[in-house]
Amino acid sequence: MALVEVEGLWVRYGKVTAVRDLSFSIPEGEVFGYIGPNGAGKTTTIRVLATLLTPAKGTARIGGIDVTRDPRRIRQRIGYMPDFFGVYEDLTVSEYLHFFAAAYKLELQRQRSVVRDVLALTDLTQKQGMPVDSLSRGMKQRLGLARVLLHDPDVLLLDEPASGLDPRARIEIRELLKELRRMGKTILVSSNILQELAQICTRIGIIEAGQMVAEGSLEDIYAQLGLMRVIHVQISNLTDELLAKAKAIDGVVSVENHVDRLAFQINEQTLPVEDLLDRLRALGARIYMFQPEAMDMETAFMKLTEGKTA
Amino acid sequence: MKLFARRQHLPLLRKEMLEQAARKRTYIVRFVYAALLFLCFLLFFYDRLSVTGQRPSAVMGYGEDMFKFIVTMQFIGIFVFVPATMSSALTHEKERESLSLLFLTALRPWEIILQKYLGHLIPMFTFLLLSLPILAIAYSLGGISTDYLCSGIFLLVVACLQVGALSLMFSSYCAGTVQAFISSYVMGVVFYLGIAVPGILLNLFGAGITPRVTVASDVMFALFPPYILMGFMDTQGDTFADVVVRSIPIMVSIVLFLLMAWAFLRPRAFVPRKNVLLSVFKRLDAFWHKANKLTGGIVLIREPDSLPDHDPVAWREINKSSVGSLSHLVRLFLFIEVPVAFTIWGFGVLGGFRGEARGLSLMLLILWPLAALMLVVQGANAFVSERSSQTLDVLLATPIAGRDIVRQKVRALRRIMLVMAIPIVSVVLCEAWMEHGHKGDNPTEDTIFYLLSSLLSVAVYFPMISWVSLWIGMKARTRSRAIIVSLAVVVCWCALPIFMLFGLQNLLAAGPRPLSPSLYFLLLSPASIITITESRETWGVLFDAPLLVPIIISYVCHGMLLLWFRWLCLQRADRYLGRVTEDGGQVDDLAI
Repeated sequence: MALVEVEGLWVRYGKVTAVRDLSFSIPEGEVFGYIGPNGAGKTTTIRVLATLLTPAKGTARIGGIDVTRDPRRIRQRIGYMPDFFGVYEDLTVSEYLHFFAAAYKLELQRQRSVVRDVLALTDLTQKQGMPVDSLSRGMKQRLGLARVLLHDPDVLLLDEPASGLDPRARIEIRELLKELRRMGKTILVSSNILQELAQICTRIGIIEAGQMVAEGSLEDIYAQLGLMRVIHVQISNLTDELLAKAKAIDGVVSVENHVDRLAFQINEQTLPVEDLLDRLRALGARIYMFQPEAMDMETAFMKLTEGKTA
Repeated sequence: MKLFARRQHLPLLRKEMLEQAARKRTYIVRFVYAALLFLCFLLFFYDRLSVTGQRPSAVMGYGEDMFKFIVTMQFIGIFVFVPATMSSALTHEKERESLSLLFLTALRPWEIILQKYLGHLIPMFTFLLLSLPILAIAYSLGGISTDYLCSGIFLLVVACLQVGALSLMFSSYCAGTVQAFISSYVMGVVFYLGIAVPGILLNLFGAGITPRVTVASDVMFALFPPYILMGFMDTQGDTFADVVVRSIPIMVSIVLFLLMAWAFLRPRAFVPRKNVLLSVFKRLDAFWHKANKLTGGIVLIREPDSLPDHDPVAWREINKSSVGSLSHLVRLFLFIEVPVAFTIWGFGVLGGFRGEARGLSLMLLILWPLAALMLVVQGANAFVSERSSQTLDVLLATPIAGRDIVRQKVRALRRIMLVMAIPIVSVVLCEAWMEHGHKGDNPTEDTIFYLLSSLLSVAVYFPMISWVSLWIGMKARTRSRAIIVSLAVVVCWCALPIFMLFGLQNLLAAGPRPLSPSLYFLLLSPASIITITESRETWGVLFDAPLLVPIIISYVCHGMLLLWFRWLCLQRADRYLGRVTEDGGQVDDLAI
């Protein structure tokens, strides 16, 4: 069952239409990567779901509740992290978390245990007495994640959580998101760093100029685009005859002969990756490397978008 | 001007001109300023101008009054508007972090200073140009010499340059716009009073104190700011050259201010923004902490080391702001109340603790604007500070209802209201006691009226100013806009009814002036209610009726306005702050 549903959503800022007829859904427990160029409408969509914007048309529901009908219940079910830090710099880390725990109406006793847990999860326990303004960007972002977990929400709306972070901080955030996925949270995460989303997202949506241009699993999108999977193979007994036979396998589109390897481009619908391995063995090939290339989200992104803004 | 800037390679000036030309606000403000200027002129001089058609000779020679009126209005405009616009000239660049980019260009610091200076003065010069048609009328009616006319215009320009340079200096020194804005006004008042008061005292008593030193009037003029220089001018005797020579000290001060702005520009370009009052309090805390360790001390106020339980917004406002916690409020209270108590005692000794206490009335005229300024800044800043530090969205995504957020913010404001109210109430009580209580009789009707009206003014106007400022702050994008607009609203609310009254009296005057009916205009202004309460004998005669009823009606009306603004803030909190309302209502765009 879809926990987040967006149907025919239109959002306007004066005369500018930021989102036009947008529809998508996120099943419970999935991580939805929301991708698009700057100004595509990602933040606008997330703000509608966070009850901070009213749509001009269409509906957005979380857990079956319309975000415009019962915003207070929605706020209890979501954790929203904007694309800026949003931290009170005059508070310490612990005070900051207690502040929001009180805002979510947690009892003081429960506040203490929850704050302790989220500090441990985000690896900020050592920093709890430090003023927020002394934290690095990565720590502030982890603090933001700790904040959205205080009231144990079903849905996390994370707007570019890795933006502006150094590689180490990005990896830490990615690992945290993987942990949250394991905890069963439904996550909508927007980002421009495509490769990172590829590793954690179960589904992606690509938006441009306020419209969804592709949605589904990465494999689905590859199939939609007719993109080919590339597999790198090293064969120790490679001969011209064997190469010719390999090229003739049904489903192999092309084979590039590199200095140290062969690069097979295959049509996965006709020839699944594991079948290629069997077929090559059947031809007598002695294989000492067989490496399918990761799905190239950048290629998909570039093919689907033209850099237009809403 | 843009063409001039391009030809002279003044990129910053050109950018300022382009930005101002692109803003709708520039034209609206210019139109409103011109409309107000012409309206005031019409209201004040309608009776004289209306007879021009019948007997033109009857108005000949009235030009001097008109000229003085319009020049005074322009001086007020300069002292009110120039600090407001100039104080953000450099702080705006600092806040946008674009000043460092300017330093990387070929522009030298003095070029940045001068181009910013010119860029913000030109709009004010256009305001001065707006009065030229009226000045032409005044000149054509006679009564002023050409030298006087030129001197007046010259002094207006000099005042612009001086106030602008002073404000630019603070803009260069301060880290933020709000700090520069408040410093420009407060230090401006200190600067002008600081120069004018010794000058006047020297004029009055100097010869007596130092009989061998006679202070020549030309030397004495050197101490005065432009508007007083204008007042001391001989309309027929002084030449334009005399005025130019006398204004040399003012010119020197302008150069000094600009030099200081230049000197501050680089060293103060990247100073972090901080709450000055909070830093002072923290240093005091550290000092007392050390002192207590030495003495094994007594702690008078022990702040509970608490965490937020139910009302996190109120908790933060009270525990983390400069004027929230009890110990900080007590310090602020003592800082205001101790001088007030000494002054009351001083006036009491001078007057033998009995009879009319005029000095205390004057004290109220100082305390009220101070309290109003404090409430406006705190009220306007309550939400706009959340907006500018990007914490509002995060707060709005929590389930706390909008009206609860507002209520919690107001809880902190109430503490400040209390601190600011106590000095005023103590002056009022002492004044009532000195004027009436010492007789030992039962309180008279006059005493009851005075006490009732004064206490009502605190009870109604304090929350009213706070709620109005809070409402404006909820709809504003930036701190400077919120504070400037709130101040402008409060000043207009106090001043416009008074202007309208005098204007209408001129407009309606035919034969003996019907004072009483139009006097009721004054009841619209909180400032005039406070003034009427302080000098009720005079006003009682003018009103030609018992004062109590109209005054009570005025308080009721103002009280209803207060409730209306409170209702707006609470009921529409979600809409104003920017989130979907409980009934799915639209989010309002920021209007200010």
